[in-house]
Order: sequence, then C-alpha cells, then structure tokens
Amino acid sequence: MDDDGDFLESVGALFGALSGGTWQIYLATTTDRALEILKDGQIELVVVDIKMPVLDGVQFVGMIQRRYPKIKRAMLTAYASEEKRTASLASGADLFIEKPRTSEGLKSVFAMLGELLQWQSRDGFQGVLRRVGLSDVIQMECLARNSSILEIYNQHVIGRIYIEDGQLIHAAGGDLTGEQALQKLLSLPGGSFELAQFEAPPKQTLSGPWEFLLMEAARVRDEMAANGVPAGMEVDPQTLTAPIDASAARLEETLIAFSSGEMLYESQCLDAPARTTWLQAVVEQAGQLGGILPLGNFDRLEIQLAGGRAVALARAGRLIYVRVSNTLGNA
Amino acid sequence: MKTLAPQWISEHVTRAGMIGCGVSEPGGQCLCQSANELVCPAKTLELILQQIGAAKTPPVTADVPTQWQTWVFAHGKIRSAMRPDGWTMIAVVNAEAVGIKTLDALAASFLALTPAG
Repeated sequence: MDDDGDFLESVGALFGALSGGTWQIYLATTTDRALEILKDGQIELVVVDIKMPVLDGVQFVGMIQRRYPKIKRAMLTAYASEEKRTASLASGADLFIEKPRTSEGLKSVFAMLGELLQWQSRDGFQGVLRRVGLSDVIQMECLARNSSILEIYNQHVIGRIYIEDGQLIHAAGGDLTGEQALQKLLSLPGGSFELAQFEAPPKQTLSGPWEFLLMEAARVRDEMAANGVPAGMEVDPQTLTAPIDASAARLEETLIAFSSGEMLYESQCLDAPARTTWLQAVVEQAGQLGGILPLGNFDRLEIQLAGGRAVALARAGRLIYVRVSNTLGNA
Repeated sequence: MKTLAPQWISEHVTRAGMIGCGVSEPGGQCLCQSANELVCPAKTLELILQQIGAAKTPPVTADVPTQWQTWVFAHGKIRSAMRPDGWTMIAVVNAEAVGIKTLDALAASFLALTPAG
C-alpha cells in the first residue's frame, strides 16, 4: 500500500517477476482499498508505506495486527528515522525497511520479504548471525544441557540443528545432513535464526561430543575462507579437509570448569586440576598475546598432537578442554 | 639452522595473509621479519615469540608430543611449532586469509628443515 501509484506499479511488476509468478500481488493506493483487499483475499503479507493520507501507515499496521494477527507486516518509508522505526515496530510491524532507490535495493527488499513470509510465530527468541555467533548460541545451549531446535535462515538456505539434553544430535541444511550440514550452516556469512521448541528429529545424524563437532566445523569454515569458497555453497568438505568421521576419532579427555577453576564436568582426565590450571594459564596467555598485538577476542587454542589434537576454549565464564585421538591415524 | 632460518623466514613472510613470522634459537635469540612494519613491527613479533616460548606446556605431552599450536583470535591466528632441537617458529596471519592447511604446511616445512652436517 502506497499513495504513490507509479512506485506501486513498478514495485508490483518487479516483485511479480522476481517471484516467478508465485506471488499474487495486490496494489492499493488508499487504506480503504487495502481493507477491501484484506477482507476478500487470503493475504499473507502486507507492505505499507508509512506516509499515507487520513490514516498513516503506523496506525494502519496496528489495526491489521488486531484484526488479522496472522498476516505478516512490513513497513516502508522514504525517510527512515529511529523514531519511525520504534513506532513501526511498536505498532506491530515485523520489518521496517527504508525505501530503496535502485533496482538492486528493491531486489534486497524482495529477499527480505521472502524471508519474512517463511517466518513462523513461535515461542523463543530470534537473533542475527552477525551479532551473535551461531556457534556461541549452540555452546550456550549445550552447556546448559538444553533441548532445542536452532532454525537458520538466509536467502538460500533453511537449516535446522537439533540439540537434545546438551548434545548435537541432528543437522539438516539444503540437501545435506549430519556434519556436512552442520559445517555448511556454521559457515553462513549472515542470516537469522530462531531457537525453537525441541521436537524429535526425523533421524539422528550427529554423534560425539559437541565440542569436537564445533571444532571440526570451525576448521572447515577456516578452510573454506582460505580457499575462497563462498559460504553457504554446496561444497564437499572432503576437498577442503580430511574426511570428518566422528567414529574415527576417539574422545580421550573432556573437561569443563568455571573460569574460577571450579570443576563442572570431567571425563577421563588423568589430572583434572592440572588441566584446569593450564586452561586458566591459556586464558591469561591469550590476554598477554592480545596485549602485544591486537588481534581481537581470543577464540581458542588448537593443539596438534602426534596422533590426535586438543582444543582449549574459554566461553561464557567456562573453560573447556577436549582432546581426541585418531583411532585410524598414527596414534 | 642458523643459516636455514633466515632463508625459511624470507621464503614464507611474503605469503598472502601473512602478518609476520619469526624463529627463536634454543638460547632464546630471535630472528623475526614483518610483512608490514606498520601493522606489526618485527619487535612485536619478537615479543610474541618470547611470550609463546614462556607458555606453559599443555598437560598432555608426557606421552603425546605437541607438534604445533594455533592461537585463534577474531582477526588473526598465531601458529607456533617447536623442533626437537629447541628451535621455535611463529607465524602470525590474517584469520580470514590463511586457512589451517596453509598453516599446517608452513609448520611442517619448518619442522622438516634439515641442517647440513
């Protein structure tokens, strides 16, 4: 809905073409006409210009939310401001978009609206990968031993990562499942996710400790970046790194402790106190290295051993240490 | 090693994504070269090398020797490797530009250096 008929016609034509005819688009230059369409049609999404005569877009969206709560709502404005954004979102808009001035900008709006159409209302929270790392969310869920489904969206991929009682049990993205799907999803450059209520996956495709799975995914992501592989593309991880087979690696040690040194969990550690002390030293050492050369936040220390490897992490007030050996390697 | 180390450094410091690299002798003397003195002077690389050298050994080395370590930060990685003869290398790289395989090859080439005689 926009009182600028020319703009409306051109956007309608473009979106119709971009959707390949799958979107049925109704145009309205007045709120009266828009209400008629809403009464008659099965509308899934309304896109409303803020600056409308008689009843402005903000009020109109509020009205739609009350009358048609299942319809998704996006607001457009030529002059975005924080006040308009706040008012729009407070009135019930799902998206607040500045009117683009180029056809490329309109294509981006089309992509955003496409994503909005795929959103499903549910309990939980939403995030944006650029702000909160997907790995961070997974770690928080695993450390808290939660059960949940992480649903991930970007323009091309819809994926799901299943966490049950703090363990990664299934991942699916595109045509991929298991570790390949997990790696692909964790390599996405951006997008959004929702933490949804847990339900049993169709099958279990992941096994082994979550720390190891995330570590391997980080390695593959690094390789993809180094080899110039666009993230999110269909790639065979075997061309980037050694085949990843959790069953071919044996977990030797796992330790999770508070940063203070208090033990949370340990398995098969020969000397857990010594490892905890060492982890604390790693964090201190990382701080000192960061003081010498500002390389950003410390993420992890990877250690390549003869016949295995280990990783030390410090996340959310926890120290994590995992060591695996290659059962098929040169251990 | 005294003759091989400078050659090894000059061969690798120009790799894409390299911030700088250096080696230290068993006695602690360092030789470092920066890819960009403005970003990371050689003196800074020496400090990193000394800091890495002073790091506590991971408590897994009694029967499982460490081949190399990678300190991963948001914007960079520091790979270190120590030879049985006590020579240590570090490579500081851009996190996005240099992958694990490249670092593995770098460390392996250092560990494989064979001093003449």
